[in-house]
Amino acid sequence: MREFMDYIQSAFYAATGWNRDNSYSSLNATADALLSFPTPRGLRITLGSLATPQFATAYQLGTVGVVDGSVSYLYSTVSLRNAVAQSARIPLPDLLKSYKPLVELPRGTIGTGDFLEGWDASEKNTLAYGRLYLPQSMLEALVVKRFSPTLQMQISAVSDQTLRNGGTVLGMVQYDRQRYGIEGLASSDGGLMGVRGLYNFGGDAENLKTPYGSSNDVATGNGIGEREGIYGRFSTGAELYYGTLNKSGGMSMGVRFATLPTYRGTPLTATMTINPLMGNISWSYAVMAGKFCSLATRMDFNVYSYESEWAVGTELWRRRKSSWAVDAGKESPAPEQAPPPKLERSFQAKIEWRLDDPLPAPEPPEMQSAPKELPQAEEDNDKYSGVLKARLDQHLKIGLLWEGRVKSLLFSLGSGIDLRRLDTPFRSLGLEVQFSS
Amino acid sequence: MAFNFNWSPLTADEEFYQRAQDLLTTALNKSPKPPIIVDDILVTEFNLGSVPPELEILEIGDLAEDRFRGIFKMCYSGDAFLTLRTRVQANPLNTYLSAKPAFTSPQPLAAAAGLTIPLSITLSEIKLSAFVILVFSKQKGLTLVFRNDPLESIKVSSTFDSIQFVRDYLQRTIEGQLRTLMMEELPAIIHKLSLRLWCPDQLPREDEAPRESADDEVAVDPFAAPPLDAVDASGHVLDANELSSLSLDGGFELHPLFSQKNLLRLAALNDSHRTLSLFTPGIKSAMFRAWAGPMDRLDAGRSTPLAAQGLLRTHSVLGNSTTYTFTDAGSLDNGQLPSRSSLSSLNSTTMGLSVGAGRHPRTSRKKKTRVVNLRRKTDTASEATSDTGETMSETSSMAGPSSEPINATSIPEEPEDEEPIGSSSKVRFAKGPETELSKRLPLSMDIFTDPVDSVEAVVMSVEEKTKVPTGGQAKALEAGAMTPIRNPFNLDRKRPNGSDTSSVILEQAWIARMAGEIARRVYDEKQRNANFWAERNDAPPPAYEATQ
Amino acid sequence: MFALSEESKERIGKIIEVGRVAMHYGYLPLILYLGYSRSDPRPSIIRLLSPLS
Repeated sequence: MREFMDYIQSAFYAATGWNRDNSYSSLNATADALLSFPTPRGLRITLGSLATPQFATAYQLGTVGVVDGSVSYLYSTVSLRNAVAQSARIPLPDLLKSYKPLVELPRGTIGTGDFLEGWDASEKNTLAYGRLYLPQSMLEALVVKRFSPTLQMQISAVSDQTLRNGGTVLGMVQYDRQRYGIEGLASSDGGLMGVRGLYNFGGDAENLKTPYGSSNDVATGNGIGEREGIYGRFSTGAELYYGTLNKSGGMSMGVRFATLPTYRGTPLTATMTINPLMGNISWSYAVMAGKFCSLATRMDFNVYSYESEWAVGTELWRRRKSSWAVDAGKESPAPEQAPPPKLERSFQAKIEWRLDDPLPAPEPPEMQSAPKELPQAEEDNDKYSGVLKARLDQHLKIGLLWEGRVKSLLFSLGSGIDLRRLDTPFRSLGLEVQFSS
Repeated sequence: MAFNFNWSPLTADEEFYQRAQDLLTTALNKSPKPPIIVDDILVTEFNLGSVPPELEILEIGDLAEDRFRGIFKMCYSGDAFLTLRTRVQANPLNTYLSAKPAFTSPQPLAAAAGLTIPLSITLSEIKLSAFVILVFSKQKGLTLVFRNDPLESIKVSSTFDSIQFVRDYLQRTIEGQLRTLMMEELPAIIHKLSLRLWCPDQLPREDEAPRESADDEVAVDPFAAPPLDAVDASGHVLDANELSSLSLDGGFELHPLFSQKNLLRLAALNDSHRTLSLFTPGIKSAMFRAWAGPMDRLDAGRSTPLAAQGLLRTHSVLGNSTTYTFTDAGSLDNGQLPSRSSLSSLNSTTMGLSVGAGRHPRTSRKKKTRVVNLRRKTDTASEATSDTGETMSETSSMAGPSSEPINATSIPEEPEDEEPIGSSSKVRFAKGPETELSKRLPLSMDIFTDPVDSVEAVVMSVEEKTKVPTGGQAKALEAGAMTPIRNPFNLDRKRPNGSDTSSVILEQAWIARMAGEIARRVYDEKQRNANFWAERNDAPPPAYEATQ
Repeated sequence: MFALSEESKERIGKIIEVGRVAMHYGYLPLILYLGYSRSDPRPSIIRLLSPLS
């Protein structure tokens, strides 16, 4: 489960209109969310709160061996009013990092928050975040400053007495121009310098020049989708690092194909990354098998050492007020109309504290006619009340994670199981509870 | 003063190598490994080579039956080699990022992918040179500490030898790691090995660590010296020949490490340090730090207090490890330890640096073994010869209880010892030791059954004797202990015959215990009688003497 | 990098260390101050710090 502060940070990015996914480092984000999810260890409790629209606090207490905790504060110059911070209402898919279909590249305008009309240069979009781990007195700091619609700078630092030089500082400059994005970074530790780049083509990247809002685009997109079969976006990128002080370095290249949300078929994402220096090749494939189920698989191979690894993962979402349901296959748009009204009806009925039988007929048409863009999204999000993630890798290590919401608490229960050692199969076990207000 | 090692029997003992490999593997894997090493470090080959290290005694700090402390200088430039196998991480970015906090990590997508490469490293041509402090105690085992960085040079060869950069990096890293290993880990390993050896509640004493054997000899042999005057059952003084015939192992030489008298003197000297007693016995036939001249010949500027006139001592340890033989100054001209004879171990211990197993004692030049006589001032009886010691050192094999009595005590000393100082003549060991000696022969038959008991019985008799004697006798005892021996370590003669080692083993064991008991009795007596040491007219400490 | 004398290197190192310690202990209070003073509805300290508000 994403931490509360991370969630608030994404809210900041959304409010300033920054697309975090247009970066080479998130090329494998979909498959990693399904295959490399971290399982909690020990017991951890997080209390978070968005005290004001510009300030958030979070306290964390954990017992992994020894009792430790952290205190974190976040201040943003941009008001985060739109962020749903209450843990009772946070939409679970956002928080629990499921298979997220690609966000379409925004065209024309930037962001959804205060800048729908355009970039306001006088607005300083700064985010300052600090976290102090208490027993060991380690400070993590992050400052994000947006200079222009396409340029953002980020400085993160760790200050700890036990580290060499007292800590490390990493500075990153991100330049995002929708069609491509470039990042440059420099770190004080080892003098590491790196550059990353991502280039999009195909799919919605071809339509970036057209202005937003014209309905032709959607139709064109759909049309393209219908005519050409799979409709998705290709992205390709590379990264290069060099350590000036310790003479280390590395590079890698990758390519990804992902279907866009407007694609009506099975959403899928396929990536391939290559590290030519180490001879490492990795393929991953993630698919949303149903509305409540996603599957992913990954395979690594090293051409120098012939070592190979594979991993499979799945996630099952829990339907609200019902048992585990796996809707296999895709649902066509037309049938989709029918189930949501049913839920809405029952939802309405719940609110009105009456049976929904008497008003079945008039309600659905009324509901359907009204544009329910936003409620639809909320409704979709409300459908999910929990998720079960599982992964298995070639060393017969199983990772299980069950996350959900109980009353207004978000919990995450996870365990790592090693099937090779049957005497002590449970390598780790943990529970994480989060409450935010 | 230097030592000869019998290095080759190590190779014959498979168990030793296996155990040493296991110990070394655990030691290497115990400390947290650098992130570049991905897998455990395994020792695949380990060979101590055929050239033993050279060891020299610099200083003996504490000497007793069950403890020893000394400073040595060790040089090694042999052909030992060690092969390790492990897996290393070839991606520098991977190792770099794994050690840094994740918050400031650039989070590369695939640039930090790992590539593990199996690596095999061979360390050879090791050159060591160090000052070693050795502390041995029967209760606590052996501790060996390097005073300085022992590693001088080492050759590292690995599977990456064709890559210059990696080869240099490996050479640097491994040299650094080895230095820390030797300074910090090796003492612990040896201590553990020694605990296995000597702690009675642990393994039986069949196996032995190689290095411990050196100290074992140092600790035990001083008391393994035959008595100063060898007397047979009827009280007649035995000469060397008779001694050899009577000895358990006629062919072996009995090489006492130290002259018994000098040992007692040293013990007394040590006590005087602690008790601030004014009694500081003079130690004859010894090199002292205060003397400049003769020592230069031995080695530049290093003092070997126990070396007299360029005497070298080769010592053979339990289990045929090091042999300490005393040679003349003349024999030193050839440089190194000329003779290497190995004494059979007292208790069939197997390991140990066998000293010169291949070298016949006869190759030594003029060795004189001395058996310290604690009893009388007569020339012949005052010092036991080293002949028996020599005879005993012929073979290096283990043996069970011998069939001959331990007559080491009855080995007459060579008449090389000068007359004891006249003033001290009156202070001699009196009847006590003699009767004790006479008791030894009949008792010797019991040695095979239970050497400990027989020795203890002897000791008991000594004890009674020491209690009985009057002040004069006590003084005699003391004087006997302090009778200056001109050449205590002068081992000229060698015993030609080498018989079974078991007799030598038992003989030595018995002698050791005897001597220890005697020393203890002397000390007790001294404690009991404050005036015990009062009447002595020994020469002032040698440090103040102009000449020897 | 640059040819600095030992002394200036040491001084720079000390300055960096002092700055790091200052940042270490002053960063969170700085954020708290910013959140307190710049929020539109001025919050109370309790609301600022409490996670349950």
